[in-house]
Amino acid sequence: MIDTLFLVGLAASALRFATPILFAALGETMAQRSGVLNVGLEGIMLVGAFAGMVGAVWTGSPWGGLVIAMACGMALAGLHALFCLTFRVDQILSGIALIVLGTGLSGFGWRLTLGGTGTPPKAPPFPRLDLPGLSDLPVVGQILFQHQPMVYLGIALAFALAWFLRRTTWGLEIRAVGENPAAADAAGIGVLARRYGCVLFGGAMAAAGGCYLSVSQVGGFVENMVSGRGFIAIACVVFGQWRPLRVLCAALLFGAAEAAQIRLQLIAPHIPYQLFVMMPYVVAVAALVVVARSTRLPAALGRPFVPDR
Amino acid sequence: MAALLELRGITKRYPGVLANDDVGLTVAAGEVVAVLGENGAGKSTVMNVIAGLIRPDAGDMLIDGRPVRPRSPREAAALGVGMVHQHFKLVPTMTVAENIVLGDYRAGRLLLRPARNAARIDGLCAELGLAAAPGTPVGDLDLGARQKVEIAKALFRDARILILDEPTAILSRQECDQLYEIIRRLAARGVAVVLISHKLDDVFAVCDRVYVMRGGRVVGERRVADTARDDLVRLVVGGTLDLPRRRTGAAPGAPLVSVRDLALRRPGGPIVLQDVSFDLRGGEVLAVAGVEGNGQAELIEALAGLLPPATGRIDYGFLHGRRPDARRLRQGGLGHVPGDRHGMAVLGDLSLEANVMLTHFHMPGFARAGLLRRQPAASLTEGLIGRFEVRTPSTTTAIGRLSGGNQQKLVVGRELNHATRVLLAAHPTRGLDLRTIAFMQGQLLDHRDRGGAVLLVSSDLAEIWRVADRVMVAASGRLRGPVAIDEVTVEEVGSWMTA
Repeated sequence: MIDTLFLVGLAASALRFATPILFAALGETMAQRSGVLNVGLEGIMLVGAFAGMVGAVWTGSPWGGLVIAMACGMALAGLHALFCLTFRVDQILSGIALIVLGTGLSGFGWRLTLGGTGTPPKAPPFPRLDLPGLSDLPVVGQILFQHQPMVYLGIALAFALAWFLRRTTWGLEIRAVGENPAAADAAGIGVLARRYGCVLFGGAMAAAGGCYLSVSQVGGFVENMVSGRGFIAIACVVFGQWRPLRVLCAALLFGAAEAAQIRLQLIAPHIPYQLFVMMPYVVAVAALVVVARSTRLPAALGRPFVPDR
Repeated sequence: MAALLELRGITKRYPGVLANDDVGLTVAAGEVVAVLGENGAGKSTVMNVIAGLIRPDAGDMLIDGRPVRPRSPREAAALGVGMVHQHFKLVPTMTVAENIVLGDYRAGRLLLRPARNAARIDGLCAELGLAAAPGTPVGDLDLGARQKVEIAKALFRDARILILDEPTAILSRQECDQLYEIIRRLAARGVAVVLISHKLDDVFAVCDRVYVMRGGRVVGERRVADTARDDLVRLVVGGTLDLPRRRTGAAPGAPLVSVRDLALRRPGGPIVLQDVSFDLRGGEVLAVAGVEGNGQAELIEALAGLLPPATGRIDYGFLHGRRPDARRLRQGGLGHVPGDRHGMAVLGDLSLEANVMLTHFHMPGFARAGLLRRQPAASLTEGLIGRFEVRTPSTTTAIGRLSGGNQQKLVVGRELNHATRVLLAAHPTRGLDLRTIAFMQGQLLDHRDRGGAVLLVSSDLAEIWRVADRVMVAASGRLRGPVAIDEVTVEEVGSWMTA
């Protein structure tokens, strides 16, 4: 019985740990499918975590915090898009700048606002959303249906994006822009507009992930609290082969690794905890080694588009 | 016939170049018109004006007698202009059907509606003779089929004016004939076709009229039926074209390269060529004919020291028994003009000078104690630009910014410069205009007359007959020949190619 309880708890918390990574990874999937690499997710998530916390306290609602976080994420991503797409700066360089900028902005911003007030006020968390009927199911209900709305939203988003890319004209156009922008341009598709859209969406999603992390999962903001999840999210995109549903699976895998390592720390206190903390990152490296050989990335990824006219 | 498309006084000036000067042309519905000219004659500018990619400085474009000014490919498409680009604008990972509907409103407003267009796409594929299913990824198709997808894309958008940019440059003989047939059928259906080309064959195969451009101006307009080939050639080059002649009678010298029982494979791949034995002698041009992809590329790479033989041996008289590798061969006087220019011959982002230095830095005088010496490379580059008429702003321009023909001239010049003994040349004249082709062939013959050896890989039999002394044919994994060119006919060699 204890084993069942343990496993149910592990599975449920795997979903919760996966959520921030999932949002960031799905946003990055869209950006990369359109041909833009944004390695600055870490910075955007940090700003999202900070802005979400402050926004939630100021507006008195976690949803207010989420909206403010997404707006800030889009602003940062907009900067990335401006540099990469309009000024054709190297996408990696701009992404690295974004990490540094996001780290600085969030840490400094936190001290200027709530962080400077002694004991920071608590943000109102997202309420748990039980689904009538489903949540009461044994085991399945406990694992899948006793979560906060953002967990459901993240999973729904993965399905929605998979459908969007496959079945809509915009999805087709975004795929074309990421594979062969010259062909898309010749077919009359606005390459830059599609790319701007996808990068901004990616920024909003990364910030939403950060917001969930601070407001909900941790219940407060700490400097550098994202601690590598932005990079894990990029690994998820590669591991998920740029397909939203596979990216969802990858995020769940990393969520499970994270949930497991915390429990293992408690079970085996005699083993240095640092070994367990490494787990998600070891999984990331192992996963990338597995898929690296068979991976085919969007052909125009990372390359600026220069129209031939 | 009333004109469907008319250009009047189109002028486009770029800094330092008058790309189009008062260009006028008309095309009627159901007519096939060629725009013929050498590289840099201004054909692409005309085409880009029609396709909405370039806005002219002056002049008018009329469709159905009404003035129009398309400002983007999309606006041009809405006016009924369809464009088939020389470098196909297709997304290889997407299917035939997806590529055809891409960017068109009929694909669906927000949701893709594959079922709604399926019948139409099937009809277009059938009309164009495209065998592949609409669900096949375009990347799996051969070049001829990809071109049909490009045409289907234009027709899907109800193109009434179809512009084809150098459509036969990458097609095989059979594919060319198929394309001509398609063009005739489209014209019969009332489509106006503009065919941009520098090949006379295209003009005589399908065109009703031809406009000849030179130096940005239209220098002549002819009805094809009333025109002789020589007349067109004179118009294109602006004078008579001196075709190089092979001087006969000179006795070939000693073998510079001896190939015995050679078999070749790509690393990890199957054997592509076997039982190859021949001598390449000083003072001769030995041609390798054949449909591309029959091991010619591997043979050239093996001779250049880049691909180790699977079995058999290659002996180089001038190496005196030392192990052949690419560096030693070059120092020994071997030049190599690869068929894949972008992949193997030039670095597009580097300057002309640096590209010349790339194959010369290990030659005496170009470096001292490991330090590059710029002066010799700069003056050599200057010399090559002059002798080979490379059109470039300067020796420090990135070579990728030059036209393909000008890049090729520099590459051939560079390789000839240190090929004191052997020149390996794969498709050295592909994609070049008539005047440049004649010039290049002359250079090959000069090298031969100086006592050098040329191994020429070409899929153009006319070229082989003009310059080669002996010919071999690559087909189904073997090399036939070599035989002296005077002892065979074009037909015989053609039949070996497909045997």
